[in-house]
Amino acid sequence: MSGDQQASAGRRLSRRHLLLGGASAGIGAVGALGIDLATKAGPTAVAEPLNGTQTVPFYGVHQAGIDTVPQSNASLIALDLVPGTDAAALRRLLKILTSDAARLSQGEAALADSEPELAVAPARLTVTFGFGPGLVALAGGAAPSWLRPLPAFGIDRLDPAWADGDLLLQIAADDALTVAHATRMLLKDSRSFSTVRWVQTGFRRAPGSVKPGTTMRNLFGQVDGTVNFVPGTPDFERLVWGHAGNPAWLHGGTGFVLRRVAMQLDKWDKLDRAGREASVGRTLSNGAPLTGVNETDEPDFDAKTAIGFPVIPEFSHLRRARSENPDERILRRGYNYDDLPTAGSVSNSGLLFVTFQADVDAQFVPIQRRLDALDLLNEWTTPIGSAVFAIPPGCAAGGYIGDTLF
Amino acid sequence: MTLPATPRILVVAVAALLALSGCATTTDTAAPEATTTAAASLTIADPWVKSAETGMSATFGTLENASDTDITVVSAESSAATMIELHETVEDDSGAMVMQQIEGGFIVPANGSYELAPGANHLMLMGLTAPLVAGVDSTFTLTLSDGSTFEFTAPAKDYSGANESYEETEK
Amino acid sequence: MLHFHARNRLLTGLGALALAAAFAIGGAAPAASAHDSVLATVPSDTEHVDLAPATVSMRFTDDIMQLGAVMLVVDAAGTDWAVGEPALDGPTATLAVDPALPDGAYQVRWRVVSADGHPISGTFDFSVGSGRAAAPTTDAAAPAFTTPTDSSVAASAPSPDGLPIGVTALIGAAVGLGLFLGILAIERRRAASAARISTTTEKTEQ
Repeated sequence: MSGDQQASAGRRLSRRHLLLGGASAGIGAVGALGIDLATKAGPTAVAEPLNGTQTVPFYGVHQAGIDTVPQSNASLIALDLVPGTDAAALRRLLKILTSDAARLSQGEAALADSEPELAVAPARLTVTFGFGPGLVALAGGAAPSWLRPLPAFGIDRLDPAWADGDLLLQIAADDALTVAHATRMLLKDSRSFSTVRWVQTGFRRAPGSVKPGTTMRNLFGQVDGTVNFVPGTPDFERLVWGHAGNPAWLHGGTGFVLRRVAMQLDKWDKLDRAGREASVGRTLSNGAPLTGVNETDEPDFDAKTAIGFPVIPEFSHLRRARSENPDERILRRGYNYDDLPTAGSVSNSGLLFVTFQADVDAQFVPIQRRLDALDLLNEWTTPIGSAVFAIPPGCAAGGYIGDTLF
Repeated sequence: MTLPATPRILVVAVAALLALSGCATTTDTAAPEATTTAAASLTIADPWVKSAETGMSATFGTLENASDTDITVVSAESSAATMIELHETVEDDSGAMVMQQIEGGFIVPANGSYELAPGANHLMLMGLTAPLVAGVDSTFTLTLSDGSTFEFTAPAKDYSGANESYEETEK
Repeated sequence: MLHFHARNRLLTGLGALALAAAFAIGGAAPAASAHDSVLATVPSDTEHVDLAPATVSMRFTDDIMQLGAVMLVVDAAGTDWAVGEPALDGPTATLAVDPALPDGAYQVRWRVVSADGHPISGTFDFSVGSGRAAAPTTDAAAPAFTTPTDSSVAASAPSPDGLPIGVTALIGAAVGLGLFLGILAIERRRAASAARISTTTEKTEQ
């Protein structure tokens, strides 16, 4: 802390802005703490909570990690239940993992945690569980109609290694070591019940690198995720937490889609700036629509160039992703990935396109169909993985994730 | 969060477990009186059992004493094992750390705690009555020196450690 | 649709032929920009033709994407005389024009996506009819028009840039000569092939 105390006044000011920004983002107790500190802070105040000490409540009506401001690091893991697993074993697994997640998210070592010192900096750790169709069937529950692989799309080049699964773990925190420890703990406690099907790790900007609330950028350099639901709004309540046609056990939960989208950075390199902007319909500098000035300006799809063509081309990603039907919207919570290059290449990069929506078929699929039919961005992107999970509701202290299913 | 209308034994069990562990340290009983049993002042935080198919295993956790008097645990039993011993870690003649039955029981100091942990003191389970698979809850009863008993439930967890060697002290 | 496809194939064939003729001389024009640019058009920019063309064609420096190509043939009143969408074949785009195209001045407004994914757009002008209506510059005939422009979402030069004006002029002259020869050939070919396709096309011969 002494180093922090020596920090310049300007740096401290920006830290306080960070706190205020966090509060305005509505992250509950943490935000309230921010207000408290900010209002008490005189010009020389230096009380600054460490990122690592921040926590997100685990128990609640909804699982954490969905309306949570996205953390900087995430590991998405799909498990396959081992043959012979019965409903009783599944319940035991869910109880154990719930206990681990609840404790670790609050900065407490898990039971039988061999490295308890790694648990002390939760850094807004959340663990979000998702159920695949196999798990729901094993538990004897009714599956929502959309809980199945997405329809095949023409642009897909899916690798089965990145597809499907029985149990999803989305482990996210503002600290890669925290994510690694939580992952280790959860997988250790899963290994009697399941095998790891795939692990996909992703990242965003580290906390404190940019102003809170800044829309993330993908590895194409694009502002990615400008139009998104805001937690607490009617749209969020209806299109993420809404019951849709989902079975009762899923009420309070939602639907999850992960598309692993490879991005051909080498090909993208050949495209100049104007071409890059046209492919999406937004500027690179701040993500404003090509018809606007600011990121959040509403795009004007009717605006024409001097010779009569749409300023935002009809084949641009922005235009194609937008639906006339306000129900065809999704919560985006993606992460960049940048894995080991394969032989002969220098990059193996892309986007873990993570979305939440109450009804995958009604909300996600129509958007993907439009992008499949036409989207200039498809020239540089390829879906190589796809998975759909049902996200059960949260649980109360004393309960466990998935307890509504049994 | 709405719980299912029908009460579930497991949910209750987990609730009981969490009440005992987790926040249990803050849910102390009322101030001890002269007539209070030792058990009324004893709690255990974070209890768990190492999973095992057959044979032996061990139970861990942190015993906490909220009273002004030392509490001595003299014995333990559970339907999970035919015999439970109170073990401690000692250094043998060759300098190696070995486990053996403790003389005089676990003494939880007044207003203090006594840790049962892998590689240290623990409840030694012998003759498992059924496989202790991960996630299964077991109930243990500790008998204290004043004759009162303290009961707690602990889940089994897979754990690769706690493979210490044991001094042959069986009689 | 089958009819339309057959027609598109024919248009493509016609366009390729016309452009091939044009490049017999003018094909030396270099590609100066990173993405595609326009090598030649039929009619060529500011060209006057006596008879309404059945098609207008463009050739680019590289293959263009089978995506997002738009061509319009707009008169001074803003009416579009294009029929359908341009047929794309490698580096060429060929657009059918309404057979009823009256004499007058026209501007072809185009946008394509070049091979590297870069949308490019621009215009070229031509005029149709017996001398009186055919102004050598579209500005005179249609003040609303500008000379070949390259406005566009993704600013790009539809004509070779970076060349001295004199060189460009020479190239232009060569292209013009090539086009003249090419169009002669096309007209003959079109008369022959149009008869095989549809009466609609035949009308343009009247």
